[in-house]
Amino acid sequence: MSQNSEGNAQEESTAGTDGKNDIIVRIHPGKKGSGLVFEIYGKGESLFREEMETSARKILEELGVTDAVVEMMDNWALDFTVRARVRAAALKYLGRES
Amino acid sequence: MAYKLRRSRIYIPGNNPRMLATAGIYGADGVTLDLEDSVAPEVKLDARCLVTEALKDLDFGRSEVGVRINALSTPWGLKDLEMVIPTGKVDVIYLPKAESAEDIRELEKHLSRLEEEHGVKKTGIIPILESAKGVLNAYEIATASDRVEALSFGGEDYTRDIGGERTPEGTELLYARSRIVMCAKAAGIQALDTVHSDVDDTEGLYRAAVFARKMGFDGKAAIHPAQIEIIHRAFNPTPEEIEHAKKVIEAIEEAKKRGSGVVALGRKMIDKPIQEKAERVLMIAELAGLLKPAPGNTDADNTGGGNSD
Repeated sequence: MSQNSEGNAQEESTAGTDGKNDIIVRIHPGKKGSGLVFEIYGKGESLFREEMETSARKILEELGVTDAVVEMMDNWALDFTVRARVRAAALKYLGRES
Repeated sequence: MAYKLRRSRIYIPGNNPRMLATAGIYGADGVTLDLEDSVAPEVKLDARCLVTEALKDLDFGRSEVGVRINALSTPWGLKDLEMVIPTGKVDVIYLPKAESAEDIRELEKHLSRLEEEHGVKKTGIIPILESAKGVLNAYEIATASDRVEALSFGGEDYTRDIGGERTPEGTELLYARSRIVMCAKAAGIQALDTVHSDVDDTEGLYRAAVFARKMGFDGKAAIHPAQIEIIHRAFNPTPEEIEHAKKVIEAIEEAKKRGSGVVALGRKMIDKPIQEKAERVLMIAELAGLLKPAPGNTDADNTGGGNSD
């Protein structure tokens, strides 16, 4: 576990499933100053990598996730699913689940 | 309040992206995006986020958009509201396990606050009665707020609550269903019947839906897309009923022209209940897109009903 600049705990977190039209998003704490690092795999990666990263980055910046490694394993998820899974994983990561 | 066609509404599990993405194509009168029973406790947040983003992006066609939140007594109910209401895309909230007027007033308080904070439309409430207490208090629940648009029945939980057993005949549900219809209608709102949980039993579903319609229910919930057309068939007026209703209305118009106070169709007197029934049949037929256009009038059938029968 590490902490962000506000002293909040940051734990590895996951959201999503390997079901069709879904995506698994996993967020790990990154090194300080590393920014957001994306590792995107799966079915739609070659076609939609940029869109997935853009959607994810927007949500993560909105929620204040800064230095983190974001793994995304896609199974043809639509954009609303990408955003939802990133948001859920980020809220868990930030300890704002409840 | 204008009559809303609610023959069918389909439950869509809130943590299933694929089913959410296709929810609008089935032609149901309503979709109920579910955050409650179909979502395990450990993925409540995941489902809440998914339903919220789906509401922002997806077109649910002509279906009324409902969200079944978790009960407000759980750790999730209020969080569900706080996430889905700001989208401004929710027509009605289905409140599970409603048992008192206070449950409705509490929900209304949260809805009013969130709608004002986010500048979104007024949301309707459809309480789901699924306990002995809820059924007993049906009238006070129905009249607790002007947001309450219908009472819905949850037969599975209700049977468990009373210590009964589900049977193919559904005798164990008869009192509760009758009471819910009576209380809803006394309050001037709709009554919506419980699900038919055996997806393969299409004949049983049709029989149950016809019976529900005859009891006074306005619609029935579905748990599978294949159930929607069957439910519509059961709740749609038949061609014979539509023809008869047209004749009743024509006879009334004719009598008015003649200045006669007595209206008859053949040898049968037409009184107020018969007139009201005919008007209701034609209203539902029109909303369901079942009325054929008059010759030369191509707009007459353009009611958006999308009936598939």
